Amino acid sequence: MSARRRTLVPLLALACFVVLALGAPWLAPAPPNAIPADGLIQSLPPTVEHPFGTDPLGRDVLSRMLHGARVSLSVAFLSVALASLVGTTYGAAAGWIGGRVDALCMRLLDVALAVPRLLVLLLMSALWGTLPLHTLVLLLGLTGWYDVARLVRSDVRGLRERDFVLAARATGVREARILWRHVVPHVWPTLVVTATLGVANTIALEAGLSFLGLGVQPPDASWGTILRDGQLPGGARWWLTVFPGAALVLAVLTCNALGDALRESFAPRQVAA
Amino acid sequence: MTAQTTSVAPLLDVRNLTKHFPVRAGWFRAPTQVIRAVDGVSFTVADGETLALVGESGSGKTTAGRAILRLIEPTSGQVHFGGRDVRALNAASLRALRREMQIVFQDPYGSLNPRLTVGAAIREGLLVHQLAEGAAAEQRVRALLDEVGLRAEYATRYPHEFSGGQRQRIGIARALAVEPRFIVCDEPVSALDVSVQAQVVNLLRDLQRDRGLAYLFIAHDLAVVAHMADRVAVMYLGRIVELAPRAALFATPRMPYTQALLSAVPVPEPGRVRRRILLAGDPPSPANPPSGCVFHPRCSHPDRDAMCANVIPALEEKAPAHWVACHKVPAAAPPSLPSTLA
Amino acid sequence: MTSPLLSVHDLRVSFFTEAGPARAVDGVSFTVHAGETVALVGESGCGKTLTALSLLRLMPTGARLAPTSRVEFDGADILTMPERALRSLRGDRIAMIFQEPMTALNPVLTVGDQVAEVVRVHTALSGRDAWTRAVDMLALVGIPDAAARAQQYPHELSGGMRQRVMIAMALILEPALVIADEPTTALDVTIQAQILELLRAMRERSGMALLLITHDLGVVAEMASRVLVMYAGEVVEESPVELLFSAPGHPYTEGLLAAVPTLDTSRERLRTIPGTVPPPTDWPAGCRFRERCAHAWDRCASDAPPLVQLGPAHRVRCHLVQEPERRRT
Ligand SMILES: Nc1ncnc2c1ncn2[C@@H]1O[C@H](COP(=O)(O)OP(=O)(O)OP(=O)(O)O)[C@@H](O)[C@H]1O
Ligand SMILES: Nc1ncnc2c1ncn2[C@@H]1O[C@H](COP(=O)(O)OP(=O)(O)OP(=O)(O)O)[C@@H](O)[C@H]1O
Ligand SMILES: [Mg+2]
Ligand SMILES: [Mg+2]
Repeated sequence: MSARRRTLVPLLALACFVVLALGAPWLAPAPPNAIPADGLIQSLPPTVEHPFGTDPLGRDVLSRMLHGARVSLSVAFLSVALASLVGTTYGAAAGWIGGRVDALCMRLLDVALAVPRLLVLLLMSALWGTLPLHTLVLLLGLTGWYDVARLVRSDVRGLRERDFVLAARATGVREARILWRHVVPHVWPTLVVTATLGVANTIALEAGLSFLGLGVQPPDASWGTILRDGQLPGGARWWLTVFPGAALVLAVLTCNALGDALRESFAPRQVAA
Repeated sequence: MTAQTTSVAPLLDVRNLTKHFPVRAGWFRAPTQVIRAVDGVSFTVADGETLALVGESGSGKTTAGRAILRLIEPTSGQVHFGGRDVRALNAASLRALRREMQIVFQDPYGSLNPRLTVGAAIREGLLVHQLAEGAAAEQRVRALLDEVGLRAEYATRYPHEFSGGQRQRIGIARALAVEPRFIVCDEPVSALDVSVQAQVVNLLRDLQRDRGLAYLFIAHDLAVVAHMADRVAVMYLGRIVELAPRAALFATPRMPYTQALLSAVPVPEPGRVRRRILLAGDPPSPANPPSGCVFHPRCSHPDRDAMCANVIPALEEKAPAHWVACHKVPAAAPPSLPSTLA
Repeated sequence: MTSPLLSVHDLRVSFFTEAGPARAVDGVSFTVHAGETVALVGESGCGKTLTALSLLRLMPTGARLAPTSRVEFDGADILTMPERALRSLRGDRIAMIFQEPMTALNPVLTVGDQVAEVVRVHTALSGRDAWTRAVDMLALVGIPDAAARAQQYPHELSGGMRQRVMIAMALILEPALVIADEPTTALDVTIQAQILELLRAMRERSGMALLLITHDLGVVAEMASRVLVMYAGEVVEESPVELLFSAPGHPYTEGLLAAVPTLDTSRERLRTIPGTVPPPTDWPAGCRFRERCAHAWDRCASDAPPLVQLGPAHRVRCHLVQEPERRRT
């Protein structure tokens, strides 16, 4: 596959996911929490009427998955956006200021990295009891920026010593503008790649937490909570595992493929003579 | 110790400029040693004058040039430009001063932002100093490109599309954009082939004639220096070891290092055997400079003695306007009257 | 004569730009024998660096090689060999000294690491031995206090020291061919003399061949046995070094020699060649130097001059060779 197509295919796939999620209210056959009018509260395998079956409360799984995509994707996107913002600011500041500030920032980061993220998340959500969505986003965001910070910092540190930064200073450009115009554009590739990989990571993480009952809370639908519903007592219901599981795997794969493709396309040119 | 006195106040007056780089093993450790990149350098540049700075690679020429512009903070010393104390300026006044003092960088590759078009790079100075905007700025960029011998339509291209010599000319155009009075030219022609080099040397001299520009001209190519400079300062290991008008320096170099330097210039005549003064021993380290005269371990002067190894020679006027830091160079005549510029 | 170590045949490199295809290198052919030093000189932007990079298939992205181009090194065709085979050649048997030390060095690795890396990639030496060897090499190229300098980052070194780091990386494995793109322009003349001496010694000791790209005609006179002069993507003259300086064949070569500044301190204006090189997107028909040439006549506008063989290793691309009476004085 050409480099272009390697980027384009996952990009289109991701766009499909986003369109489905955004269009959920119109695309879904039923509202996510609608209990059937006939009062039939029972988990049924796929039929024509319910292509993905129904869950133990009789709700349409397809509809819940579409609405769940909204939740899962927006939690992932928002928390990664937050992580990127925090990570870039931290990393850029450390790298730009340099010296002792930089050394201190990096040691702090080492400490933060030494604590497993999952452990922090489990602990925090357990302490919180029922976790509102925005708090979940905040938690995921505030525990997900370390890698971004490290990468941005090492980029900025390299850029800081480049002569074109000095040249801008010699021209009389003010520091803020130098940072914005001469340094940040060079950090974009790093940022885009880590963010895409971060989204994949966060989708999986959120699903895991929700599956454990610690992430998105019922009755809200997310792919993780639907999976969890499949584990409720009352016998195996494959459709509650296979469909959301497949969506999850597909979404994560898509983001990872996109991240890798982007990384490759941004790879430094061999030599610019 | 001032290197020379002129009746009118010079445009640039540098005294005892020093820059030491600490070398640390880690940021929380105390510096283990310092690199004395520039170690007490004094000189002046008059309006419209070219002072060339030549010398050993790593002797601190670039560092001195950058410290004068405060692109790196000097460790100590005074820099006065146009009567202003450069080291006392706050950030805003310093930015304003950068309109008057410019620099052409040694490395034409590293000094252009690869993500900005050539036009944008040249325009930046016009914008930040509010010299021109919009179509007028565009016009000016085209004129500048033309002035340095590049095609005006190149303004929309990116630096990687140019060869080394073309990029160096872009750097020169960028420095000229803000119409400075003084430019530190850090090897502005070393990346150019001789025909373009000749064009740029002529260009720099025309600009000097027309606008009264002053240059600190850092170069390795002594033949180019011979064509550009009014006076020449020779640096070795962070110090100026000889400073003289161009003609005097090339005709009668006094300091043994200068003599070795001049003898090493390759001449474009195949087969011609030249008597070359080879420098013995390793180049010294600026982290641990030799005692006394910094050049003494490699010096070939017949009278070299213990004094050279122990006493740092001062830069003294050994002949009219000819300053030498060497114990073994006799002072020719009594100190001269205030020197005139060559 | 033995077969050449490097033979380049009809090398063509082009770019697609907004203004159309740019034929930056346009049919360059030459050979380099073992133990020989060939200099490549020419107008800035005429394609010297691009030629050098193509020899190692290191063209910048966007560059396109013509399928008819051939580059043979020691009998193997570099342009078609598999990437793996090429990688093992690069740095080991063919080394390149890049023109731009700051871009070719990694700003976040120490210079010692970068030199040692070359050794580690191509030999079985351990990390520590590689490091020792790197430090020795850095000392050999004239870096004072090499052991301490090896632990510094590129931006902490002066321009000339960075250049010497690049040279150390290229020479450390004693390659059979060194392609040196302006190896000494950033160096002062005493260190330049030292580096040239080192290159000469390696040439004598191991029969190393050197393709030397330089602007400094003094260095050319001192080092090279044969000179290639390029203009606008083509070789316009190839000549043994003595002949080039005593009897340049092409008007561009003459202009180049006339522009050389000399140490005599008269401050007359330097002689230049009027005008600028045409952009590689539209080479003029006929002779590419025509617009800047004092001798040009109508034939120069219509026929592209061929590279005419005048003697052993002496070729000139100019109609004056056939019609010397057209020369104006
Ligand atoms: N940021 C830095 N940190 C540590 N040392 C530095 C730094 N910048 C320069 N130096 C050291 O200062 C000394 C002088 O360097 P400088 O670049 O001024 O030399 P130069 O005379 O311009 O040499 P060249 O002719 O090779 O360009 C060198 O020993 C160099 O290693
Ligand atoms: N990526 C690119 N895109 C378009 N044109 C390019 C690109 N890289 C190089 N060129 C063009 O190719 C030509 C040859 O460049 P090259 O770097 O080989 O010149 P050079 O002979 O090495 O010059 P110099 O002596 O100045 O280094 C130049 O005209 C340059 O503008
Ligand atoms: Mg320098
Ligand atoms: Mg080049």
